[in-house]
Amino acid sequence: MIEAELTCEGDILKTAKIKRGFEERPLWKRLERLKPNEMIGWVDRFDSLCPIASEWALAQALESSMDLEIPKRTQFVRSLLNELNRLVWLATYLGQVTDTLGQRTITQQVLVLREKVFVIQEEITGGRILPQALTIGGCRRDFAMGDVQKVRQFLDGWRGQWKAWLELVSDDPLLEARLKNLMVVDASLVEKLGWWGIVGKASGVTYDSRKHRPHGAYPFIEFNIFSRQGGDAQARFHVALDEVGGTLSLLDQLLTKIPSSIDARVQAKPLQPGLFFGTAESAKGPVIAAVEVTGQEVVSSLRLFAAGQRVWPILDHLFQGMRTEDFQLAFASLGVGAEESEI
Amino acid sequence: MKLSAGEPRSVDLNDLREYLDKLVRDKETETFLGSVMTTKGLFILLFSHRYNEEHALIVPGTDAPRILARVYETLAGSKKGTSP
Repeated sequence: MIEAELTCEGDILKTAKIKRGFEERPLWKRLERLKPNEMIGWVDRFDSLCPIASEWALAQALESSMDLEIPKRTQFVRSLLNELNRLVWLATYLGQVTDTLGQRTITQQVLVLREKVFVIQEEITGGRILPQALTIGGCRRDFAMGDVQKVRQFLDGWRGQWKAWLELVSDDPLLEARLKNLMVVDASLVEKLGWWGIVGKASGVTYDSRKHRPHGAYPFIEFNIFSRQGGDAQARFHVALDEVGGTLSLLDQLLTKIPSSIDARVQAKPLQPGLFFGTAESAKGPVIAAVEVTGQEVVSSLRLFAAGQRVWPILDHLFQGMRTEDFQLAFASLGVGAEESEI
Repeated sequence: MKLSAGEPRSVDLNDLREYLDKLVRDKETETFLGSVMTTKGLFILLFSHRYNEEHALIVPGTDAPRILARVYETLAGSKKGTSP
């Protein structure tokens, strides 16, 4: 659900003012008062659809300050959790687009798929929507015996239902016609705003921090970055579909290659003063964490950066001149929905 | 994982426009990624697609809106850059 003030002239949109809610939140001040492990749990609230990437980016920044080396199995577990979590965002995105098209049944079906991801996420981490899964140097819970098998079974079932859903939307002439040439975002705007994720990839900008800033288990896995050239809603929709397929394949590889021996728990070290960064790839693009540590192990500044923060201020202008009836669909196709709460 | 930003360079507000202009001209940045107030001033993270590199700087001072306005102005005024 979005709230917007639109001014129209005939069928053409003159101005659009999309309401986003409060622009300031006390999240950062709250985080700065917590201990490092608590910060990682709390930072889920940055974006409830991409909590693992938010946790992971912050964990990397803090671990960098402690000069910790993260064991290989832990990197695999983190990557598995991140890929599962990417399915949540992608299913939500696809649901928003199909819902805007009035395709209620198709929407419900993709939300059922999302629900299944929430269920497995809860089984593995204990948290359904905000998993609070990572800690300094590791994960709150390593994969227990049988968890690999459990995720494999989940994938088998999910993949079958995904295939059935895909058949419903693939080559649907009405859907393709509505999305084609809608809200074209060109590559130069993507680059100027760092509007990565599906918007960037749909415009031919293939920045993906899993490749460009290798982290976790991604350097040990083979995968391609999906992209299109059109830059329109149709290209974004297809990139999202491709990304789901890519994530399923990545999950398969991660489950196959995950080291079997459980790592010894990494002990936290004192935070060293300085500025530290971390980044993790969510489905909507990279989340970057910046942390300043001052003497006496105090985190004095902390911020997460994501594309939404950079895009929202210019969003209203993008809709000027388009057909009013296309507004909702164009907005949904950008993937900056109301759920995104990052500030 | 580490970003390529390295140690942020300290740039005085008065020199900021010239400094950013040069970065944009040399295609060392076109994207403003974000900012956060630190104990040393406003930390600004920029990015270059051409070099796949972050560029970090700190502008001493506490007037974040004024500093950011200068950053946005400069990036928007340059041929390749723009800002939110």
